[in-house]
Amino acid sequence: MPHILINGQEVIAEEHKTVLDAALKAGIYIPHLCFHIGLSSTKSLQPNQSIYHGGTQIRNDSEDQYPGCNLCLVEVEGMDGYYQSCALYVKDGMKVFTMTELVMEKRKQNLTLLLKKHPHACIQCDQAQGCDRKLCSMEVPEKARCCWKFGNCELQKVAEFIGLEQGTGYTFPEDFPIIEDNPLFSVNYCLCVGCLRCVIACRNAAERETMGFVRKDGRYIVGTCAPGFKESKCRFCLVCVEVCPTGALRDTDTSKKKSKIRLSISPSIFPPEKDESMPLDKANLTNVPGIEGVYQLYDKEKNVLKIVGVENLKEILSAELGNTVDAAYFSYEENQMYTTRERQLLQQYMKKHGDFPPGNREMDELFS
Amino acid sequence: MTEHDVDKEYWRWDEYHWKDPDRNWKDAKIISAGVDVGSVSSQAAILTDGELFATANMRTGHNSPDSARRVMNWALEGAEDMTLDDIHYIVGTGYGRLKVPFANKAVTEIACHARGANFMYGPTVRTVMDMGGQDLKVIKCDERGKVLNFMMNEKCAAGTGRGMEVIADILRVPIKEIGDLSMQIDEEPPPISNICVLFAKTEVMGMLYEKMPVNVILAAYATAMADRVSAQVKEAGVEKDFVITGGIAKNRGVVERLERILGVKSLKTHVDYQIAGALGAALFGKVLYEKSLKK
Repeated sequence: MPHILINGQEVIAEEHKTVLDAALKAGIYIPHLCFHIGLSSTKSLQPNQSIYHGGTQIRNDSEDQYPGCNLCLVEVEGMDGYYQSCALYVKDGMKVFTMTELVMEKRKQNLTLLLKKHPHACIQCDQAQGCDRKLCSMEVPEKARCCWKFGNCELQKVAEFIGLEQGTGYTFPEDFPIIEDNPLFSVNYCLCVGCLRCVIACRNAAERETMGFVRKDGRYIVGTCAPGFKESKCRFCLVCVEVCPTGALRDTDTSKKKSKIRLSISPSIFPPEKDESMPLDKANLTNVPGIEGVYQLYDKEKNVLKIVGVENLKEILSAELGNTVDAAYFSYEENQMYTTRERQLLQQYMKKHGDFPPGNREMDELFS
Repeated sequence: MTEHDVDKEYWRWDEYHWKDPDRNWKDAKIISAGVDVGSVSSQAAILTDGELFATANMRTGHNSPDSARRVMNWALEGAEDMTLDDIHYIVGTGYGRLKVPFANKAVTEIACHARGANFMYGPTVRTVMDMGGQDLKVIKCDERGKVLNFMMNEKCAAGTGRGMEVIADILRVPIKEIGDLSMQIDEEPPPISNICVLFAKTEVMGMLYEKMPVNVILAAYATAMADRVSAQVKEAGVEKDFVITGGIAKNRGVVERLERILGVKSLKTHVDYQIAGALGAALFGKVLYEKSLKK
């Protein structure tokens, strides 16, 4: 089996696999949109003659194959330039670098192109955290804002990981329709970035060709091969919804159907969350300032135990040492509006976990 | 208009203190209190054996510890000869909850609002919408007033009490009269397009310049506010019974329009809508004191 080095870390890869596959399986994140772990590559797929957005037919105007999302770029020692890691096969002794200045810059450029027609205020806006999407005091036009997937969106996380070029501004999606022709899911084509994950998932996992794509005016546009999903021989397994990295494909609120095929798909691999935690010990506490802020405590597995806003970080955190039994790590941020920030973090936590962190449930016992 | 009118503070709502005339605190076994220091207003509530005995409601000053002390003192002033030392347990809550120097404990306002609303409106309350001075919270709770989920917007003062105060000042309408006045219209005007306090101010000035009647402008502002907050409640899901707390709950122009949009009536109560947080804090104070006795 080939041994390769990724960012200096030794990885034992499977034969005939790509660098992207090997890296992801070894827990090394390389940003990617058009690739989904367990599905074959979308790169070089041939466009359909035409596709449909509901009743509207869109014809292909080019014979170009799909070039890929161009985000998974890497550099290889001894080879000039950069490569798509989804199309680069592992070779024994290969030395791969995933975070060089060159590839990071190129990814940024390519992502900016990808987002040209995708609303991305959720990524750009300074006030994105804590935004309720309903009303904007930053004068961001409604259509350029974000969607229902805000905060849970793979594309958003990928974009946060890669970053956008300066001066990208706000963009407006094209006037594509929203298709709601069945009770299980809907498609908002305005939110599609043309990554083709749904197309390949439909072929690989559902063994159908319900979804297809065309190239028109230089863009890749996804749609169904016939006017409706049913006519396009959709088996409604919803793998396409499962793999979509954007808000384009969406379960209806009442449904969330989990078919066998859907459950067989590996979950998407998101960029690693920024980890600012450090071991809760005396040495680390000496650097904590004695001012207002919010701190978080984590257990050994880095699960959040507690989110607390305080007037004096140093004093209260020092008191936590040895007091909160399971606390192994902590992180903090300085913030004068610490009670507000605390609620914001609590709200985000609740959205994800459905309850307060264990250490914030102290009021529970007052209800027995 | 006289010179004098220019300085009149139209935003100023009534500060007050109140005491239950039928209760004698000296008969009480447990006296607990809650102090809710918000960004715009502060409240204190004193309970005797878990029943509401005295309250006070004031504007928050620049200095939180001072605000907490002032509102507590004022509640005590109304409460016969009770002093701070007579209170067994005090819980601080609200934005300035850590700046209540005489509190035994600080509790987040989310928990306190839900608990307070449960006491004020009864155990059937499932959705509490708190329209505060500078934020909006939608809290879902169970029959005991325990928080199940919450959602809030706090990036922006649009659609909050502070925004309404600004509008009161520009239009020179005392804030208490805004609700009624905004309902005195023949036909609902379209909502104003900017609800951001800063932009709305400019838009309202423009409307005044065009000689639009004040009641119509107020209706347009109240509708915009109801539109905005309704979107947020809808996202959290309106489960009955639905209640509105906070200062804006006293503005029927916003409340009635919001009810119309949501298609749900909110429960009403005789207790001051602004007191929910302080009341919840005082109720927690009672339980916390009982627990401390058992130790």
